[in-house]
Amino acid sequence: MNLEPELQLLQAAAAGERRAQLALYELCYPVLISAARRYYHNTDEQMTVVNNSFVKVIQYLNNYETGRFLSWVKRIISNEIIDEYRRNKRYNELYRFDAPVEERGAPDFQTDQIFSHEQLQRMLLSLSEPARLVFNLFAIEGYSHKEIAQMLGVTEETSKWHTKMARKKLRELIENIHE
Amino acid sequence: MNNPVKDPLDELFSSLNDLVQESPSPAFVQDLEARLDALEKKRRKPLLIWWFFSALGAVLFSGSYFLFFSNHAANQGQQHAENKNNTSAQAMTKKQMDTTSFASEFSSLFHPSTSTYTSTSTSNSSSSSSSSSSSSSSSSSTNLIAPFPTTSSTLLSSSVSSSNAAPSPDNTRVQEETYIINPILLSDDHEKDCVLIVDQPTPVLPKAVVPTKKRIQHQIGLQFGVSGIFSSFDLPASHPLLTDDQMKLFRETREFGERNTSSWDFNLRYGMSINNWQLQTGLHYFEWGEQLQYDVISVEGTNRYRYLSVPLLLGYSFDFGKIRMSPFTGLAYGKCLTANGNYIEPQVNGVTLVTAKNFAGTFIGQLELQYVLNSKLVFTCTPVYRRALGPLIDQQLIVNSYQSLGLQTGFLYRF
Repeated sequence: MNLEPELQLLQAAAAGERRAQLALYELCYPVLISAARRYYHNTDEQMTVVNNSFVKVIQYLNNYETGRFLSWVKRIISNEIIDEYRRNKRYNELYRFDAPVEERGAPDFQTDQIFSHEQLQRMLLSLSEPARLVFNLFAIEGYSHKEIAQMLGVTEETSKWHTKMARKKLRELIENIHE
Repeated sequence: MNNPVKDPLDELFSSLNDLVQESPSPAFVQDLEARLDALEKKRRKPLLIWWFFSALGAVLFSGSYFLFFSNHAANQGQQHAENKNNTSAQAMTKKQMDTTSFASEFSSLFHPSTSTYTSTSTSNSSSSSSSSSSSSSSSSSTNLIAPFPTTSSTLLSSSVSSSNAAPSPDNTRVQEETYIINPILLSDDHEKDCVLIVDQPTPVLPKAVVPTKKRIQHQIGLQFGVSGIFSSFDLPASHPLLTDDQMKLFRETREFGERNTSSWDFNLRYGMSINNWQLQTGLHYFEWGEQLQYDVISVEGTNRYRYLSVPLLLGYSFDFGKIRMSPFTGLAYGKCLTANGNYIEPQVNGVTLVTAKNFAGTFIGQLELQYVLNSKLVFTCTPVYRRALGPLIDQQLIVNSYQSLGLQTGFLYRF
């Protein structure tokens, strides 16, 4: 399914044509809301971050050079979430843990069970905020620890530590569902 | 964004990244529309400010234009009116003289003996008319002067009788020559309003403002100088592709890495002065730019954007003997001669190449101090303030504006 918008639509949206902006919103919405749901429980919070990100999309549409539009939108919402996280002063929690983390060798988790999107989301949202943020960036969005460390202004060790803690918690949750 | 070894748990959760086709709820759309409206308002605001100041500038400019030229036209009108008045006054004097001589001729026609007799008989007639009971003896003389206003006759008689003696013919003649009759009131229709001014000097016309003769002077000159350039950059509070930390680092790196610089100025100018108003144009060379020395990357040097502009300045001069002070203000529009520059990248790990605007406007304000060496040659010393209209560099996150303060010295040749 090709979800990339036409250039004409982008130009009209950048020019401030409301109908084009709403059509573009419709197109970006799945990307935006799926990211928002991974980070926030609350619908109001999801709405704020989704719409703020889309306003930034419109605001900087003239700077967008042709390429993968939805990847660009994804990056915008990721940065918006990071900024939002820091604005709400929950940022300090990330600095609490700076112990060295042992690199794991082979993956030690196996499951055949199939989980729905909602179940996975619920498990993800049960993580602490810093762990959720780092795990989302690392495991789901595919950033490296180095990139996460740069984006969040923490050390790589901190990023790894939060990923490890998130995995541990998620494993427990999956095991609980099994039982 | 590459993770070589994927944990199965990570893989399981990465399925959340898959898109599910979904439409936004009305609440989301409503909230978005409110945000888009706010964005639109924010976008319009600078545009409105721009229009407001443009309109204000236009009003001030046209106001000063009309003030200057309407004064000029008024002076011309006054001069014209004065000329006309002079002409009509001359015509009037001529007519008065004609009328007076006609009166004396008319009198002497019926009383050919002497002019004095005319006066005496007039005296009689006037007393009868003023008392509204005319005697039979005087009525004949009154009838004789009937074509002339009665009041005039009265005044004429009183003037003559004021000597308390029978006036000598010479005396009467002298007085007759000074009589002035308003020529407009000589017609029969205005008989009642007729006024004869006796023994008064020729009425002085209202004093018109005598227009000073327009002094137009031309001047050409050369000026050289040095300016200090103050560079400033605008950075948005946030950017979608940069986190707040990156933006902060970018801002700080630029703040510490970019410094003010100086430049040479050159001005080949032509000026025209009309009285104290001055108009100035010519060719104006100046530079914008800044020094660079970033700590994080090994890039240093100076960005210089060179412009050759045509200024149009309006000024007014105040004379203090040999010294003249002329504040000027106006705009210059010019072509960029050197447009390339470089700045640190927003990611602070490289250099962004930028190009300055090819054509740019500049506001200029200057206070010219002139010392008159002789009737042709003038030495000038001019503090100049310049401000680029709008950002000169506007390339994504690099938005730079400039202003400068300098001093130019040179000579003017007047002709």
